[in-house]
Amino acid sequence: MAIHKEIFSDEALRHVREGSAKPPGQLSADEIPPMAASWANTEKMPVGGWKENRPRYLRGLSPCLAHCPVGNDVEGFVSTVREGDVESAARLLAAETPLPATCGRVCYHPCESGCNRVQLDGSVGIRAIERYLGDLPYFDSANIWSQARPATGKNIAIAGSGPGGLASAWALSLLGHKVEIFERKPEPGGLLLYGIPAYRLPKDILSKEIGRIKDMGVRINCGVNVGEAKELSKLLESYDSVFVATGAAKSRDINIKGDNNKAVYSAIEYLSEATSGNIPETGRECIIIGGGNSAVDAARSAKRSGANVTIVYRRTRAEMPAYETEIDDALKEGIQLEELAIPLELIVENGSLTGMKCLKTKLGEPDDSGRRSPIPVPGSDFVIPASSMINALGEIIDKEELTKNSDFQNALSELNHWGSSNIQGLFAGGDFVGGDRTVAHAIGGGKRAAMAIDRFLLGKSANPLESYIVGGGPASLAGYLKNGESDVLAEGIKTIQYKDLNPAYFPNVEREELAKVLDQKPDNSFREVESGYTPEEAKAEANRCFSCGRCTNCGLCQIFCPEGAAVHRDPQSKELMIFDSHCKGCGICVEECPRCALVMEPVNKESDVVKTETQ
Amino acid sequence: MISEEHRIAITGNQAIAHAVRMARIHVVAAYPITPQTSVVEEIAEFCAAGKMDAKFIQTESEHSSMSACIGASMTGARAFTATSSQGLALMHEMLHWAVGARTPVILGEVNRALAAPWTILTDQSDSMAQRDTGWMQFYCANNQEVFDSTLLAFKVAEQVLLPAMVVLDAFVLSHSTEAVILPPQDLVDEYLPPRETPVKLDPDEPHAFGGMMFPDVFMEQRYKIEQSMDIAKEVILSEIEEWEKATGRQLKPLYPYRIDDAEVVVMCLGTAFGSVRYAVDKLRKEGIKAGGIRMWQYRPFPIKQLKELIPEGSQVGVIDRAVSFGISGPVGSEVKSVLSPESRNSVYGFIAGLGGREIQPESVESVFRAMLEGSADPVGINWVDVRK
Amino acid sequence: MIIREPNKATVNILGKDHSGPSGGHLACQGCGGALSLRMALKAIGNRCIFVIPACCMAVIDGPFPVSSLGVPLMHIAFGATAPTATGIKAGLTTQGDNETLVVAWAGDGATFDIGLGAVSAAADRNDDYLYVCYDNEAYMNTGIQQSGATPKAAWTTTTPNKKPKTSIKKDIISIMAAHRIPYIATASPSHPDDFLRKFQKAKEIKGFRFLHVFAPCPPGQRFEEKNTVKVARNAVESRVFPLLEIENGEKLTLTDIPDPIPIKEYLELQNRFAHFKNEDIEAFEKNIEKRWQELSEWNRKQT
Repeated sequence: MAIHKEIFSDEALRHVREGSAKPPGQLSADEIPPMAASWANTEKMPVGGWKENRPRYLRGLSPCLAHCPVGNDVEGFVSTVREGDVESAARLLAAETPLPATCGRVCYHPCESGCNRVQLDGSVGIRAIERYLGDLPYFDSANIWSQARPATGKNIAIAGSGPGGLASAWALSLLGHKVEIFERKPEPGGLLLYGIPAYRLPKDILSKEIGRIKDMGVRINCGVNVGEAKELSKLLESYDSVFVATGAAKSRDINIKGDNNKAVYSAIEYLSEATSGNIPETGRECIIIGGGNSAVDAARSAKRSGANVTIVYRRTRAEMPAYETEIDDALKEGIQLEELAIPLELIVENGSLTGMKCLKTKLGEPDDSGRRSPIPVPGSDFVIPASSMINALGEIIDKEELTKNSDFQNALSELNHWGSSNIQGLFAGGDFVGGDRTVAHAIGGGKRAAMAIDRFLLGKSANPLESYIVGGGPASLAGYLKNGESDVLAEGIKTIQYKDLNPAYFPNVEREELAKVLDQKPDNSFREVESGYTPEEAKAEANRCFSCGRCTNCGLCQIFCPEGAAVHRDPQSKELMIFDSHCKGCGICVEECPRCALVMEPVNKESDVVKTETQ
Repeated sequence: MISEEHRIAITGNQAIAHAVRMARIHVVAAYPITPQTSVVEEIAEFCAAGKMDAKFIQTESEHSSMSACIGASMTGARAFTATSSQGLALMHEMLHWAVGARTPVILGEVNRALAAPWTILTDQSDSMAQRDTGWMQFYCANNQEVFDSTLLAFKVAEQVLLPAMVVLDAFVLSHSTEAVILPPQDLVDEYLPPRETPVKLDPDEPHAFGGMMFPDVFMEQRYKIEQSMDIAKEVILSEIEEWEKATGRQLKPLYPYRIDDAEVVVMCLGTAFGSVRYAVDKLRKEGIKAGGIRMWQYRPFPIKQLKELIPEGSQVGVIDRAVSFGISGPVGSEVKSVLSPESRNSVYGFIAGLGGREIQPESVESVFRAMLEGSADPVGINWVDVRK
Repeated sequence: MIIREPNKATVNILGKDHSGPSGGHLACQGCGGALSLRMALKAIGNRCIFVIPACCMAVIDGPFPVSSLGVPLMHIAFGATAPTATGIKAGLTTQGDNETLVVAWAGDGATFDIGLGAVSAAADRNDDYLYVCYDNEAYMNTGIQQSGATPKAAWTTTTPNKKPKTSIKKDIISIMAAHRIPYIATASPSHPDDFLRKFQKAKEIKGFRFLHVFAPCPPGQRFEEKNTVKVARNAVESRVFPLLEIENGEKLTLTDIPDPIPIKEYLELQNRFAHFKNEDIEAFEKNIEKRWQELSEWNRKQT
């Protein structure tokens, strides 16, 4: 039977079906339905006013970015691998570095030291992921880069084709400048070619990387020593700008008796010759003096040529500056380590080296480097057999070789962070300027100098160079190219620490280590020790990345918001926003966000208030 | 399906069951209690035998029976339950809910006294205790009336969106067999078309029902219940007329007996009216102008009809089979309040027939005589047949 | 290996923009019940009818004439949830609708206490609907009084610390399992994948389905609003609230076997346990461990 009209009027039914403009308290009994049937949703309820604090999506900085001397968007390319888009990952990587396959092999990966995952179960294998990307066909040609600017007509000369020179040349090319490199050696690459053994960085890999830079139009003139053939001051007259990146190529003298023997080499010399295919004769017993990377590189190279190798170091293994894994691998390959010993003299019989007399040391108080200093123990001398000795005490910078002009020498000694000198147009970078002598730092320095040169040449730029510094660390070329429009360059961006994350979402996952084939037999083989990730391994390792501080659209805030207030800005957008009129400020989104991509702010803070909008 | 009218001998409980069947009920939810059981047994049997296309749900309590009926009714279904006494008391919360939710559930209420102490015999204390819930109540006096009232209850309830109880005395009607005429199904179908519910639980048109309501509109909601009760009075009359047209049988809000010139009148509800008629006849023979009124429609209260029927200046005694302890019988005080504004009648409240005690013609006669002799208390309770 | 970030399919459903109940509802900040309801509705979709008794959710949905849910909702008296759902289902099927899912959504008071007999009867009849108990372990809507779901010795206004609750939390899962209903599961909003799977599974099953959802209550259990999901997660991770499902009352599967975190990490988030001394924590732990062992044994026997 139908309901009596006086009990359920047409108007009341219309209210139930279509809503009422007037609140129920202003309707007559005839205008309301007999039963309490709702006719509106709750969207206009003013619950947003309950809150004292409001959440806001705010990008934080992954520490790996700040820790990368190159300025790579580490989190960016790693997480893009995780998402399965390796091409985009490769492009992200290419945006900040010209040498990914190289760094992916030889970088000492400070990004991994900075990685927050260290505090859970070991850092993400960032270097190996970079290597994986750098080896992909996307990097087969210079097409990975597109010219950022039309040609400027400016010419720049670069002294040295090591990582600093190459990086600078690449960055300047992207910026539209014409670059010419002068390299002393017969082949380009500098330290990468002559200082790093091929078992760590195969020649074909390096030549592919350099080839790509050449393809961008960079001319590399080999066999031209800037100091001798082209005086630096003259060079500056012919070019709009000059960048010096000739490295630290002079060996520190050892100054002991017998050091003039023909079986005594410097590590630079030895590695350089070995790279050229003429492995110097070492005899059966080869002694290496020093504890740095070149000592270990020389030791492992000599081992490969068949010698019994002993590294003599004045402190203990713990104080050795060489990379931990390199030392490990060297010891696994059968290299001896003579700790706490300093060389006294080389014993030469009939012109041939037969041994080295050493003195034992003990460790005393820490010195300026923070390491405990070795104190010789009187009367503790002993002899170890030696048929050759390689001096790996370190390398020094030789400015005199580069220029005889004292003004220039002084200028090159007083460089700012961007490699600018007080001589107009003269810049320098890489190992040449001191500081941390690593491939990554050299690349970073080259990029910085390129940006500084660009500003010098073009004269105008809206932002100070400092605004392109990521998290107090490296400079971002991609950010520079976009005039700073990069969220990692946001003012006051906070570097995310482990305590900021929500570890509940990150169960322990073992790190994927790269497979290694260590050389056990002396066959002069310099084949590569490490093999790279398979795509599956790369993805699995990338999956370990927390993506600290960056919203990955994981969806937890949307799932967990009791109010449904965490929504995308629009259906096409990946960007989330908080619908302020419904957010009650409980803070679950902030608390639960695995990666600290939101912050909580007092309501009275006027910044970025999302005004009431209609959903 | 029964296509032709026929006359069968059935109990009052069976009469309800047949009416429910013929109303093409959707859902029956019930819990057994004496003397209601045979209502639901009969319905369960009809369902099992395929004579009814309904869902019979046996619940674990009357509270749940009424809840299930309300739920079913909210979907637009026709729902029915039956109970007695304790069961009705246990339903109390949900009786209010059924009214507030405006679900036209029909309830077969077999009057039985409330414990303690235990009894299974009749009085009206159970249904009278629910008189303020907003349910319509129809008190029957024979099995045909039970059948007819049940169908009418559905039809009225669905128009005014109020639930209704069809009330019958325990055993006297519930378990007594009488001849009842069942009309053909097509007649019933024509009389009682399917229920129309413009707003119901429906995923295609979602609404929340019964959510919190603030004082700015709660009273209007309550006013609408009372307004519906008022409208029900008219709807009942027109449906009585419809039913009479269809069947020739007439239900009446009030059944008068020799009332026209009566100077002393006794009113009651239910089967006890047989004794009233007997006593009236006896007193009439003595020359006393006695009359009687049986109230079938208790809620909504037939104020207009009562005023019209009661002769001016007559004394009125109301026999309640329930007590509102501390004041009076419920019907008695209501009749007083209806007739008092014009002060044309003296109304006395009598209590009789509690817990199955018979209301004999002599009991009724004593009620008449107390009024005639002036010994009845005009304010307090006048107990009938009680050893004080 | 459990990756606790939800999988993409889960995000697409449970994280979908502008779906589920409308915002502006009246839940307290950080309400675990409102959160669970939102997740549940997204999981089961709109072809459903809800029945909600007296409980927080009856208030949360909003006062006349508004309603947040977006699906038909019938408010009903406290102990009447189960039979009302029964009646709705019967009303639908007898009018030809066999598709619409009926969902009874009741708190622990309505389920463990006042409505238990009615829930049992519906389970016994194997009525065809989904019963969800969202459990915040006390009568929170009336102001934190103990219910049958309150853990032993937890503070409530009717079990002050001087006179603590002496019985352990009623084992509603075993009670329901004893009815041999087709599907029983526990779910926690902190575990979205598991939550979604169970609601979707329950939706498809015929007969009486019982889902027990852990719904932390910041004001009632006395913790900071932001910790709602954390409390729920720690309840699961400490095995206080085991995630399981039981088919036909017999086949039990523990759907998450956590490497347990200390129970203290669950208790210490909530001030209702602030008065716990070490021996109280140990006693609490003992009960939890005993229950876990029983469930593990049950789980083992089935597999």
